[in-house]
Amino acid sequence: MSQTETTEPRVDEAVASAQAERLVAAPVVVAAQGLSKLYPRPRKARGLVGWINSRLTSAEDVQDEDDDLDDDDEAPEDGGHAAGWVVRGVDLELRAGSSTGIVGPAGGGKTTLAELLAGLVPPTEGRIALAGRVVPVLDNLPKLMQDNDVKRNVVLLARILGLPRSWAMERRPGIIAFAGLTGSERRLRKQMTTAELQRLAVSTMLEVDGVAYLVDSTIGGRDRDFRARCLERLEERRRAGAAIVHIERELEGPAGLCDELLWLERGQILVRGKPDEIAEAITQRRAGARRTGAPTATAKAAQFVRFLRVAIGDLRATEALHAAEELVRSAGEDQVDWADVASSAGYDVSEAKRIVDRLARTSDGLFEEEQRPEPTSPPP
Amino acid sequence: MSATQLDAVTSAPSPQLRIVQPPRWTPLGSLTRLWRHRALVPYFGRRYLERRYARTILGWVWIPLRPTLDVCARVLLFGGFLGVASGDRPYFMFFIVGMAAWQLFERSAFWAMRAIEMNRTLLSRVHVSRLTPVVSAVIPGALDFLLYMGIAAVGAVYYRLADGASYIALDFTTSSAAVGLFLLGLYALGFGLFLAPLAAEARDVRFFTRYLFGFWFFLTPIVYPISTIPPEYQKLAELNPLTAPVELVKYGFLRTAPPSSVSLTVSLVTLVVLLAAGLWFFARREQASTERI
Repeated sequence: MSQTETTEPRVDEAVASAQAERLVAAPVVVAAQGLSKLYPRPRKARGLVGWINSRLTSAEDVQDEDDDLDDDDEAPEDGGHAAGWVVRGVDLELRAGSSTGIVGPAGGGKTTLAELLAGLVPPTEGRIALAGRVVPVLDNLPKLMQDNDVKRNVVLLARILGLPRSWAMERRPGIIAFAGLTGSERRLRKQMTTAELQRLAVSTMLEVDGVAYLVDSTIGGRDRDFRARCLERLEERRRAGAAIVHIERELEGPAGLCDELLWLERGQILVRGKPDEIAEAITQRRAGARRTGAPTATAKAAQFVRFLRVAIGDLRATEALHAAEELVRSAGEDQVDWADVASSAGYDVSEAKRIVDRLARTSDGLFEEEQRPEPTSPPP
Repeated sequence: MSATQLDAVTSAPSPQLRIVQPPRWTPLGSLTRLWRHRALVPYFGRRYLERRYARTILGWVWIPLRPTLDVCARVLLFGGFLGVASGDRPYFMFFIVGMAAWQLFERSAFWAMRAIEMNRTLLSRVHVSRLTPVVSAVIPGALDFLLYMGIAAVGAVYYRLADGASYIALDFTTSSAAVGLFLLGLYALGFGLFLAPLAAEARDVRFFTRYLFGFWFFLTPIVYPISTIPPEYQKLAELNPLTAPVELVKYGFLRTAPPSSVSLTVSLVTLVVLLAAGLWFFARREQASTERI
């Protein structure tokens, strides 16, 4: 019994070691260097035009009464992207047969990184070498399915990926069956639920032969059976030599079982390594932040913007948050000119200075509120 | 990761090897992306047609019904009430051919103008060339042209049976109509290159364009033959860059007088300038609209 207990870890280590060696020897199928994505701040009209715009209802909210013009309007998209560097200087490589996890908090740039790798959005800087097709199996795929019915949407997704129509026509029955939508081929898009659209999109993507698959954590949604089938299909693809990338917010789930994990925060890879190493590093990092009690740059910026929002009741404050984060990051946490922050967020300079002066008078110790009490144990 | 790793991929003998870099926001870059995404042209074209008759009870019936009603009303007004001259052919035949040519231009330009704004959901999520939906706008324009020509064919058959005369000629000269239509399609694209990025930002562009095209329709010899214009204004009418393509179409189908060389030269030069400037403008605005729409 004791012999068994001592040999088991050795077997695991040997398997892990062999797997690691195999992966190192495997060819790199996707390599990114200095990958960055910037969403620039939208320009705002100034002067008279700006004044008129600020007093008019947003053009997107108006329904045109002309029958020739109104029938195509689409609702404006929800929020879009925050301005600023969403992904910054990411280097990574994906090897054939590997499984990698990209983990990090919401808004950290995970999805944008996946979209960059899949070619759905163009990079602002850097380059990616792809030894084949990178397949996005992402949450937002139903948004791409703008065609009218089930069958046409399969063709549309295929065309977006650069696949010929014949491919979609040939694989369509299998895709629809895998999504559990047999018999729904003629249903219109508007008659389908988001979950059904999601299943159709995921099924289409899993049918594509790619060198890498970028998989969102919510693949399959709440349909456990479908999710299990998807993960099984992905495992088949991995065994056949594809690289699988799981995108998760937490270390739990498939990402925790990956060969390598990348912790992405504020668009940058902060830590990379084995899942257990990452878990330890992140725990230490969070514990360190708690022990020091000092608010992070983001917390400072968020606090500032909350004051800004209260002070002037301005919806631009969300935008200001990102501007503030960017400035805090570039200037260093202790050397931030808050007037500059407000100004760069699109406020008039004199208006910004007035706001900051008012805040300085009325809210002494602006950032002290959120500080936690000093811990009893010394910092590491 | 070092550059060596990137090179390791690029040196791998894979026929599917692709390097993704920040896009070049130049006219050539836009055209390259358009070629890469050409498979989406039928999708966008069909989308314009479907959206056009969305939320109607008659649905696709409106496709032939709309031009029929349009032609009947205008022929009655211009040919009947106002008695506009049309030479030795019925006003109906004269008008409908010119109108078909105009529809190709106007409808294509209209959908091209709305291309980015209408497809913002897709375009904001996939890096598809913004030129793709703009170019696809020629499809509904071409369909409208065919519908009007279908009505013209019905009219030609009627006059053949009633008068024994054939007013539509189909022979080698008809190829000049193809040239005219090609020029009109390019003109629509040229305007679309300017209008699409602007219309995605402000609806004012749509309102303005509507009145511009409405006015331009009467400046172009569609409801009247150019020969009926007073001589001092004929030269001016020839400077209208759309005159030559429309006259080419009418010459091809109706054997009216061909456009003058001055008119043709003005039209070609304007088209080249329009397309070159439009591509330059579109490429500059494409980057901004890619990030913001």
